[in-house]
Amino acid sequence: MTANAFPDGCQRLGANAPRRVAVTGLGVVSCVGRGKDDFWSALLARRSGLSAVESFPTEGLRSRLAGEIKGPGPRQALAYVLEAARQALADAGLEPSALPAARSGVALGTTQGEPILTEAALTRRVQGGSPGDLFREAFPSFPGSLPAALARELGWRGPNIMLTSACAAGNFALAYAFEKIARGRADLMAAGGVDILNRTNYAGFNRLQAVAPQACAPFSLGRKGMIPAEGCAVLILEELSHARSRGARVYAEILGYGASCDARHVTAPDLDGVARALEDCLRCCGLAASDVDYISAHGTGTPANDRTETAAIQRVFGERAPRIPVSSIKAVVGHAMGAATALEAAASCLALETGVLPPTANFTPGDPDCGLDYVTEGPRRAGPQVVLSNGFAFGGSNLVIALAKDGWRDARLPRSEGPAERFVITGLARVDDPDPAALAETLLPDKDLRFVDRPMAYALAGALLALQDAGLDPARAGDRIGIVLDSSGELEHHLEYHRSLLEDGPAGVEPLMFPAIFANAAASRTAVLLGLKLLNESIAGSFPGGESALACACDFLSRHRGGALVAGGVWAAPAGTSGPPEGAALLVVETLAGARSRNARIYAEVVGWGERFGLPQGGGVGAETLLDAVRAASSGRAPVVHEAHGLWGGLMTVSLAACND
Amino acid sequence: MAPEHPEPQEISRIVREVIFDALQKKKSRFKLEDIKEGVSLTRDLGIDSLDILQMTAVCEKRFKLRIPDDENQNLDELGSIVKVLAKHWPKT
Repeated sequence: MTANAFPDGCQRLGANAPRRVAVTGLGVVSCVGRGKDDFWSALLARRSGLSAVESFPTEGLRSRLAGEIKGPGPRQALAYVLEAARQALADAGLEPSALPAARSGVALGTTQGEPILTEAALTRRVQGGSPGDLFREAFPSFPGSLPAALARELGWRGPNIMLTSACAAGNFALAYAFEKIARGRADLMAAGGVDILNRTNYAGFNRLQAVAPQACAPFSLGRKGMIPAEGCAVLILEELSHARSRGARVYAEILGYGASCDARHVTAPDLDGVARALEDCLRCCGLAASDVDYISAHGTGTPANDRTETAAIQRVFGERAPRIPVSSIKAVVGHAMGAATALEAAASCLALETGVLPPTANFTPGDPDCGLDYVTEGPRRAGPQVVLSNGFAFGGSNLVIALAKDGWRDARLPRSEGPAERFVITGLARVDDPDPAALAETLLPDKDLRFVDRPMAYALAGALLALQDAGLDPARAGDRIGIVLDSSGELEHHLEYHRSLLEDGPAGVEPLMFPAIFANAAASRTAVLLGLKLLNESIAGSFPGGESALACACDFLSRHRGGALVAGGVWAAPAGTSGPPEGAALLVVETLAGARSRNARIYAEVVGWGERFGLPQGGGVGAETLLDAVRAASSGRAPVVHEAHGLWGGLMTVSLAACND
Repeated sequence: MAPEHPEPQEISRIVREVIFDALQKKKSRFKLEDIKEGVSLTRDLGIDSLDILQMTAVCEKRFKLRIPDDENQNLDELGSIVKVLAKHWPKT
């Protein structure tokens, strides 16, 4: 079998028998080296890649250290993505142009896309540029441009997405790619995360007092915080039987993932939320607590994260917790934001392949809240079979992935999800009020709406109205409700934040404003304020994004067998620009069985959807067209096929029909 | 503008206003008179540590001073915030 004999197309199987997914290639660009070998040897040797920042002034910051990559080549997210993807494909023994283009896709995660370009555009605006210029200059740096650029480079036309769930974004991308292959929508996905170190982020974490002045020392007595970093990891995910048939090296099988939303606080981690993500992962992957041999910790080194993560592991694993090795690589590579969980997934794959656990560096024992086995003596030969990799983000958005050594699951019964689910739409809301903040205030008079910008206000009002339309009260049923939101910030908070940073330095930025400039702020504030605990997932504004969000929601509900998700898009036109009609267009999707069990009114059934990439850039309509299609389908005259051409060149086709049986 | 030689009562009055403003924006039921010496902002008034960082940031901007990070921690009472502000009052 040659390396590139990839069968063209594959038969889509029912949702009750998901296909298995292998990791067959790793690409890493990090502050401890380029390529998986340098990365892995640095982790095992505890050789830190943290150094004095050179790319921006550090005056007024708690630390001068960061995981900054000193070259060669530009410090640019696109350059890192292309480099890591090429490494990963070469590592997998694949030639991208020889792969069936329509079956090969890209899923990436990031917090900020190309922040250096965004900062430059914001600086010109502060110095007198026009609002329209700001948008035009910042536009090419928007996160959604990155997976599109990679797919164009590789000539791939399969699913294409950028997920922006902050510091768990890499894990969200891996989970998305896993679902695409498991459910037969792609055979191969390049998936990972990327972020570039920048003054904006560093100053924000600094202002939250989350940056360590000296070293990052996860789980240690007296630990002071995290050290910001940058990098990129891309993993090649491939349908398992195909990987085996071509004799590929299989680093790991992805067993699945679990998710949750704290729905409590925008920045502080929550024990209950983290524990629910771990429990959800075990349940959805059919794992027993006794199956887990190692946990790759989120382990940022902040007092709150490490205490909360430890307590959650203790709660979920009980008496077994002290016997499960847990380690954090962030003391060595720093916290690379949207790339962090992708780097950690790569490390987890290498741990499974080599049988060696990477240690937690800089460890000082004695913290009474950190009582686990943190692998502090150095690399440990442990031969793990099943590994969990944790990712927790601002907005209380948690996603844990489970990986196993190749072959581990062969001996176990194939896991079935039961009969294929059917999905129905039970709530709709279109919000285009010219003053969404006032509307949100009217709808949520008891909630803290500080630093709620227009996209956030649209999301909040729209989610609440869609849930009301579906007959769901988040105050009572929030445990079973989540959100998947495609959103694009209007840059107003970002501009104000940047002005403070330029004029007053890092001490001038407002602590509460920092989480509000993240791309996942609209979904996160909605989840926190409405108490949505099932899922908090953000997609980079792709116009339309409602269709991608709907597809993600159906995949999630398939795996989780229940619950309801608010899905759709939100968009607020930046000052001085025009575009699609602004506002929120949201719908509530749930399983047919779930809707029936509560006698919900059903607008339409989601019969199916297709997605491909490769149209010209520049599409984009408001997500309200999806709502129009749902309404047309609900009239029952004929099934409706809704087609939407996205901003970056994606095309989604959603088939909707009245639900009559 | 920050007064050049403020009395502690004057600082206290303004800090209470800053705290009360945050409570109002948080839609809290607490009143101005609930903010008094010996009351814990976190335990008694439901203010979290991020809110407190935001309040001290507002005070820093209002008074044009800077509280070092190591002193901007565990500030949980009106009196402790007033004390650290007075200590770092700009010398004009």
